[in-house]
Amino acid sequence: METKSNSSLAEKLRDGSLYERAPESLRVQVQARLKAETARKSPSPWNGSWRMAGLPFVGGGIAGVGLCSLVFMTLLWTQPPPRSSDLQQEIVSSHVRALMSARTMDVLSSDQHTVKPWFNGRIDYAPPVVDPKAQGFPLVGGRLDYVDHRPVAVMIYQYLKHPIDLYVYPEDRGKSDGKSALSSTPLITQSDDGYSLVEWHQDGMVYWAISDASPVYIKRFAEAIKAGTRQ
Amino acid sequence: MAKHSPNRFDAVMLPHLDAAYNLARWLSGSPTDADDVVQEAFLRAFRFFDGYEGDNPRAWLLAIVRNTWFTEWRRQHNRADATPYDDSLNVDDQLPGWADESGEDPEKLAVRQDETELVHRALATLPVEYREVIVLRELEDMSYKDVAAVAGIPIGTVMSRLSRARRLLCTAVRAAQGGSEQQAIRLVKTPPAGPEESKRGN
Repeated sequence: METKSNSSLAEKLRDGSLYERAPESLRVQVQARLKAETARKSPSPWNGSWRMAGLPFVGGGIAGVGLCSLVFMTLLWTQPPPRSSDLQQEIVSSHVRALMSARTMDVLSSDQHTVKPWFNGRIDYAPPVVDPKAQGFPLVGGRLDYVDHRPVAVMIYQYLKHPIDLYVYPEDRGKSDGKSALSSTPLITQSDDGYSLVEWHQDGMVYWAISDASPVYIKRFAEAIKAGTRQ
Repeated sequence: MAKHSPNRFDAVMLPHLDAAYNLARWLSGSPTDADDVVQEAFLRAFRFFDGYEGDNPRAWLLAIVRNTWFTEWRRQHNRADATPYDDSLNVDDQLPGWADESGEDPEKLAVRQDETELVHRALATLPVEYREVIVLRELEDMSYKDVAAVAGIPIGTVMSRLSRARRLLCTAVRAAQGGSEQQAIRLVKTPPAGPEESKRGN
């Protein structure tokens, strides 16, 4: 872009400075609604074509309920599923919901000395708050959220234009399966919505990072946070 | 059935989310209305996707955005523009309420880097029918054909409306730049003045 001090009105109109880009929350909302719309529209796969003449919605509904109860009962009867995949879904839902509501932060500050004390009195632990902005992940704020039956602290960071939410909460001593006494290596997964997640344990805290940035950057973020909290 | 797959719709239409929001925002003037319009438009686009012929997704989507806004929001919220609009007016006739000094060309009117906000406000004051064609042509860089398709008007009307819109915008921008430049000279109750009191404000 040339840095002329003057341009013509025509150039100004065309240079993009008047262009209104869609906010991230809108993007998320549109995608969520399209998903819901798809779910409503597509007939249940187990609803064979011989049902078409009848009452397809009722048929689909009954089949759907039937399948759901089957799955539910299976879940009850088998081993409890690994906690992390339920938890993973909770994290994804909470993250997306926060983005959709455009109320992603309760405390808007890039100063870790403002964000950390803000959690006092709101949760019963003190989350370690670091600001790895030197590595390209500045802190932008924090919020309170509710995950796994308890209030948790969420620190919000940014990588370029991608928000990254970092959920931090103490491990349950009773429920831990032994290996989490010390730190564990960050485990990267990808939800089927396309969000990248990392989970790790460190000094008795559980960390979950989630973002729509690609897994490469999430991994780097996790490493930057780990390094920051190790001090 | 493959056509209705959400991935195909996403891949074809989501890249134009910004364009949809930009148009909705400029039409409605409000970020919350723009949000609502875009969501509703995307739902409609998704439902009508089978009827999409396929070579110009942006124009197709923006036409839906425009119609959604026009039929739903404009009617409900009764946003009557201050200036009555009549397409049958001869292009050179003055619109009531507008001091139209024709002859100004956006290519020639200088604006400073820091006057973006001023231009933004000037564009926002244009009657929506003019604002719309400027947004589609200049901001969105659409062909006349596409502008006509989105706005639902013949190509000839696009051209004449654009020409008018550009002149109106120039007038509005110059007025904003010059302060009271466009108004009649005001009598100021001060002693006989020096050059500061000149009618051409800075």
